[in-house]
Amino acid sequence: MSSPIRSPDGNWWDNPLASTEKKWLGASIITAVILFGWMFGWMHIGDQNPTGRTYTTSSAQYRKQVAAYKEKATRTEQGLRPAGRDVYIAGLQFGFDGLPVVLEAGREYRVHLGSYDVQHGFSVRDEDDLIQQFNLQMLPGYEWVVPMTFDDPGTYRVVCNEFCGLGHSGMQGKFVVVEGGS
Amino acid sequence: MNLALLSAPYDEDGFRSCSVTGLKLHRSAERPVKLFVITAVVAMVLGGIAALLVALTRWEAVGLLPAADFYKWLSVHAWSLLIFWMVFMEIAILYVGGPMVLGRKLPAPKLAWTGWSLMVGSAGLILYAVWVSSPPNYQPLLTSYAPLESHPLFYLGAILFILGAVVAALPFFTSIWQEKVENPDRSLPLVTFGAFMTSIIALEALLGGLITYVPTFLWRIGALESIDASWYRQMYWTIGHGTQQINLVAMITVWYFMTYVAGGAEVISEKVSRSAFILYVFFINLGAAHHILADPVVSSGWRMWNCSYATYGAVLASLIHAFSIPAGLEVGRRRKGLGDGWFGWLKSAPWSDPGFSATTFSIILFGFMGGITGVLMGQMQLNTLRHNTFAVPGHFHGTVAVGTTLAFMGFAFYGIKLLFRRDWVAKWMAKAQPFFYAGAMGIVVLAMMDIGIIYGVPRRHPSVMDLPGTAFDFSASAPLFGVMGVTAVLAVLAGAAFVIVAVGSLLFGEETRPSEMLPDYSGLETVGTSAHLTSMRGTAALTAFLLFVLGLFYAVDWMWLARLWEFGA
Amino acid sequence: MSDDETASADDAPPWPQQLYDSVWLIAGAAIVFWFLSYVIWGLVDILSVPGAGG
Repeated sequence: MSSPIRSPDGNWWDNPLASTEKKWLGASIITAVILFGWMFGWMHIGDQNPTGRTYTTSSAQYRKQVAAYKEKATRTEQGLRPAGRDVYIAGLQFGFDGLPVVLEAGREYRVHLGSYDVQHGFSVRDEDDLIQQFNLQMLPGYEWVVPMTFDDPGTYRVVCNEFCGLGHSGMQGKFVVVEGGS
Repeated sequence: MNLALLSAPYDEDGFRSCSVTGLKLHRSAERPVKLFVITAVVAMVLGGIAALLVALTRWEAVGLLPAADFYKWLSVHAWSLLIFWMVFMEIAILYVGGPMVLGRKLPAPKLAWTGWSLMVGSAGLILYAVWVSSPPNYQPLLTSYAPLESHPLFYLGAILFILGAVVAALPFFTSIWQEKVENPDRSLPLVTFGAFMTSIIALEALLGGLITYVPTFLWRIGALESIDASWYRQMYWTIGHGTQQINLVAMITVWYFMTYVAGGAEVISEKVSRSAFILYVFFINLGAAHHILADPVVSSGWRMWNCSYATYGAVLASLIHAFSIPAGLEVGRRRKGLGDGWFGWLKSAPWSDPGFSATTFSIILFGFMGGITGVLMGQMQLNTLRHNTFAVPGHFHGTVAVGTTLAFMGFAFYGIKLLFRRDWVAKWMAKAQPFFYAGAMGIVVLAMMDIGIIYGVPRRHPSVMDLPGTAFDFSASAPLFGVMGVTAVLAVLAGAAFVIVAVGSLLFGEETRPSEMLPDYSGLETVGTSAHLTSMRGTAALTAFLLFVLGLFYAVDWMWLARLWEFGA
Repeated sequence: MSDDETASADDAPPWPQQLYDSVWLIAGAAIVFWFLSYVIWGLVDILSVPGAGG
């Protein structure tokens, strides 16, 4: 009998395996391949991937970009309407510069994510269906451009979910998504 | 009152023989093991108190602490349990798995004491820094994400703790070296092999920690101008998740040991189990990438290669152990005439032995709760559904607070009898404790997972029911927080029960010979055929069920992702 | 160690077993692999990020 606290004797390499064990090994290898392959496949066939171009930037530089974007945008009662397809959002202690913003449903925007100071979380949910939510990280020193398309009109609430200081729980904003066609 | 630390059953060379395991044990190894285990339990107590305060705050019907105190106690909770409770225990496991299983003296015992002193002193420094932190110093929580600054003494404490752990690990490495030099043609026992792989995984984690904390400390004191947030995250998680991978491999090593001693298990295939440990040592630390899947900067290639443990090498290893360990128990018990039918081997097992029950609950709940959620959240795209939500603490409480903690508690229960040679006091409490803890903490984990998945509630918030500046809140999740709060209190009580039995036994337990108290499988005759021809159908059913549940949640998660709006290049 | 057991044709264990027993070799290879796969590749990614985007 083989004990885990004794050195196994002689040639243990050639000890036979139970057939049940061999079947399990096969099932495990198939599982591993599926887990790996599906991620790769989704990059090509799936519409939800945490990918986008990254650029180095600085707090001052990103502030300028966000300010320039806000200049060109239209102010409305519900929030900022971007002039084009670029949307700029910056996390800061303690708010989201650029929010609230009004977007058109079904239209693809290039959403620029960055931070003026420390790490922040970009956590977005449909306020009428909380299970529909996603989460990305905002890092100071980097600008991340993530294409996004919101299919359904509604209000999407944004909270910061990375600890960024004592005012963290007040850090929130929203997207207002309206019917397309303007 | 007997003081278990002071009794001395050793011969003039310092050895004694354990009548349960048959191991030859030297006092130079046993004494530091006892100290490290006791220190680990002290850390656990502090972490448990902090757990109570944190849970009663996030359960906002109670809402105990204001924000500043919440973050302070959250930091104490994280460091006491994820780092101190775990790492002190793991040094003890290395000394047991190495010199004690090999029947050797501990080489350079002064290093064990030096390492322990450095670890304790630096732990004190870290806790002190947390205690006195106020602006401009932010609480580190566990991760101390730059550029949010924490107290300089915090980073220094972290560096010294790492160095202390390395020093404490040196006698273990030396004992393996000596064993291989003296017996070059002998394979290490499986437990020792597992402990060795654990130590290499630990070395990577500790090295990554130094690469993280030394520059960050220099930045904090002004010697370095800036620290790159992405580099910090990448390197922090080598120690952040690496320490948890140490937990995993140490826990599995403990599972092999405990199922053997408590349950009469055998090793069904040295080749397969060792292959799994080798897969771990190569691939498991790549999984630190799980924390930066929803990040900019790192390429999708890097993320998918590393988060998959290079094509799921480590998940394969986990699935192997998930089969081998129950199968070892099944085969071992069938061959001793202790099991018929599909699950007789499990029904006949000593469930009233807390060493056995704790180990078994650890295996089952780690697999189903911690393991499955980890695999799912570790898929690059699915991660965006869970990143920084309450589902993340749900996952790691499933792995560490339920899985590893139960395994270490079971190990400690046995340590009281085998190392300290004391009988358990309050035996009814000892028998019930693993059931109580597994049940309560298990429900806490389910509640946390649901809070994160169904409501997307953020983690690291002191309150989400009333967000300043907006009418929007997460009050729909309040009932689940109530469930979490109540069961968290029960879980802390169950943890206290463990401490009461442990400390009570050390102080007041009767000195006794373990052979009178522990299951004795050596006297049973072997019935039936050889191991590889003995039925493993019970294990096959259980593991097939595990794969089924994994597949089910896998499909559900991807379907939920597909329903979400579109994002990504 | 009893190397005088009946009919043991090979005294030396098969080479895969010897490889598994070479724990220091395994450790060294694993550390190098992790360092390249996780640390160095990640560093390359960080250093490859271009400046100033759209």
